[in-house]
Amino acid sequence: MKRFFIVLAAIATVFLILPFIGLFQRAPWSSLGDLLTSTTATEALRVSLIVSFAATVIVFILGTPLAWVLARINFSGRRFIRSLVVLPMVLPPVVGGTALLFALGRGGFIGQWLHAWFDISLPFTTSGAVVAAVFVSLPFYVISMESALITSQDQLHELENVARTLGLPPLSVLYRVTLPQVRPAMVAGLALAWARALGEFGATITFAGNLPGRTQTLPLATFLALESNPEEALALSLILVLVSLSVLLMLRDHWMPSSSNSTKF
Amino acid sequence: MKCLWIFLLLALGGLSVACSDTSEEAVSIFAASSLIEVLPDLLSSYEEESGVGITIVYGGSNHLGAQVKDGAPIDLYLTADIELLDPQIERVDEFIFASNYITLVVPVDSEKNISSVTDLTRADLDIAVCAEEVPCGKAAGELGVVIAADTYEPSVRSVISRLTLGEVDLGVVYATDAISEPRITSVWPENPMCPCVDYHGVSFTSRGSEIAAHLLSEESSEILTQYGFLSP
Repeated sequence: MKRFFIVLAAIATVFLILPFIGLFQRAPWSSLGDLLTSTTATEALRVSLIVSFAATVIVFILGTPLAWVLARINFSGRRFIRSLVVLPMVLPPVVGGTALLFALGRGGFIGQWLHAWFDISLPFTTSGAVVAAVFVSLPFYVISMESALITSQDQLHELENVARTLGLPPLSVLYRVTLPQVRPAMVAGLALAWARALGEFGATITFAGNLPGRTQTLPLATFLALESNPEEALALSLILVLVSLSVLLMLRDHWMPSSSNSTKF
Repeated sequence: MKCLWIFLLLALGGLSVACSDTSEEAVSIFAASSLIEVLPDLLSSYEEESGVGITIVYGGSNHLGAQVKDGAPIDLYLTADIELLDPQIERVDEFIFASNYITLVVPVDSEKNISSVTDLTRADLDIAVCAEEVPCGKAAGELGVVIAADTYEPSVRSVISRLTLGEVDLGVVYATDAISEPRITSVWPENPMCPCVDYHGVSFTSRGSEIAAHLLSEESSEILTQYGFLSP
């Protein structure tokens, strides 16, 4: 059984790593410098970083209370809300973008009022790209936080009770006791949400459009470069791989399960 | 555990279906997505006379071109950008069967007072054009104005969607699109003019060449004109 699993695990690992070997093998190393410093690449990287980090901040601000409410407050329809909240995670992003367009676009049922009253139009703006990124990445954070709040529920209740008896106001209890206790899940959730926002393509191009320097993120630039200049597409893909990998490595200690309790073969 | 095995079996089944070769007697054609409306009309009489089934795959010229290069088994390739097809690829013949020109379009209920090519520079308008990587974007780049675009779309179809959904005020699309889509209307130019896009056909088999001859016939030329294409 063990040997069988090791073989399958090896196949899975190779399968996951192989495409990257292809990417590195075909990468235009000699002209890489020029390709990476081109306006397309630098602008796309800038937009990608702004959008993904802005989205992560919003995900944190909105997602924390949502996860808390879903974990702590018992109300009718909670299971339904919970399924709705994770829907963007399983939905094809293009569908998400289309839905956003019909809600918040210039002709959308909310968007037309935003446009008429406040002259706010989200499509074709960086804010629109952030909205798309938040839409697809929020569930990742909420799920991670909610399950952490539920699994450590008994322990958290005890700690919170102690803190309250010692006179801490409710909000401080949340921020100084509860959230630090679930910090690994929080960091993991934020990392996942950020990674999802960075890689976001379908909802962005559908809802926010594609304009260099404003809404053209790295995935969009990669997709379009593939149509005309595969070398550039390879270079842009390399940036995405490296940026994602370095963030995952930085966060590794926070959210990778510790390896001390694994079986030694 | 039982579930896992069933799942694996199903996955393997899916793989084997995906791998099985489905090539049959039918003629297969790769065609530029801008031909999606006219092509079934063009081919219906050929299909009736010859009794041959025709499978058409529509897509962007770039993606299809890459698939042709990778050896996709097709009889005929109809493209809006012949330059994207590797010249090394062996072919039976090559011909131009239609042209299209680009035009400025607005939603039919537009109140933005748009009438000429210089409106493409207006910053107060939301403007959608094709990305320069695709043929319609390449042609738009030859209009001679710096377009104040708000989004560069990956295909002409998505420019049209932006217009029909009311997300943009102005778009650059093909003349044929302005005719086939009732929710948009062309505002410039009044008469056909370039920048133009030529549709090339490339046949790889004798069956493909037969259809090529059909596309170049008088009858086909009439249908093409009805849809707003220019005949060569």
